Amino acid sequence: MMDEGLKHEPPALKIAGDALRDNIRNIDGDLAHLDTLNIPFEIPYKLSVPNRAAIGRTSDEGIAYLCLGASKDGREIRGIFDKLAEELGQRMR
Amino acid sequence: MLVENSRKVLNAYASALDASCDKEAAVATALRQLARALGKAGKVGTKVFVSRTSAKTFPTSADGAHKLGELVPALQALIALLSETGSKKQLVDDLGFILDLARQHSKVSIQQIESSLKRPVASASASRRKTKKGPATMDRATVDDYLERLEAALGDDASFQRLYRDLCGDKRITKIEAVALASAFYGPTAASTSRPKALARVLRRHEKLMQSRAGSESIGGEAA
Repeated sequence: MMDEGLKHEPPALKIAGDALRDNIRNIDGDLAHLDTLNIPFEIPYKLSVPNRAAIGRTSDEGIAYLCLGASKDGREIRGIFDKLAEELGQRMR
Repeated sequence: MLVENSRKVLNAYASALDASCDKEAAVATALRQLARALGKAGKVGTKVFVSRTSAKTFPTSADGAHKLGELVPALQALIALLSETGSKKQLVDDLGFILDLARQHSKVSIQQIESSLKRPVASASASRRKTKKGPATMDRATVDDYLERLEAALGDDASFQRLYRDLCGDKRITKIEAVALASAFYGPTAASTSRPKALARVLRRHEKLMQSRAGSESIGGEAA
């Protein structure tokens, strides 16, 4: 999520997307195909996974949203990943 | 669905929390505060309200005030409850937008959200201001029109520069419109940003693309 110190990130994401689209103009490839379907490359910035201590604590244990269990942290973090998965699912349909 | 519906649900939920136990009283108070803030949003859709509020920049809030982040668990629980009980999808979706806002501005106090609504930033009306008195309203139609044209011209240097000159010379684009345009086209831009600086942010996205293109060409052109 966007903290006060991370205001440069949304524009950086947009600029990177512009550059990628520009680089694949007039060429054939999977990304170019997605571009012709008007599927944006940028995942909305609000879906970025925030820096949470609970996720860090799961290192070496597996997938964060699975091994956090039914705790408050677990529910919160699963909510974050659920939104991201929903966005990816929509793009793959 | 109107933000008014979300306001009513949050108030009802706060009453339910009040009745449950003392521990939840603080959450109920915060929910009521948010509901009060929503009441000041006027007749606007929840999605639009959240989108506009998301684009704003808020100063770090003082300690002690209820922050939006405190409402995340309560909103998640409410959404889960409403989903399971078969409530209207639109209402559940709207509360999801509010949950997104709470996550995004988790450190912002609800009071700041409410204060920001005292001065309407945007108007649903497409008409421009007719008098100099009264609260400033935004010409949303003009902003949307420029946004579409800027996106179309992005990467075409001659077209973009021509459009940018028109934009800079357009008297309908006041500081409010310039900030909204910069926020949508480039990235979150503080409401206090001056018109020239906001418009410079619009140009920056195009310039960055031109720089990137020049860089690619200097190392061998587009991918084969």
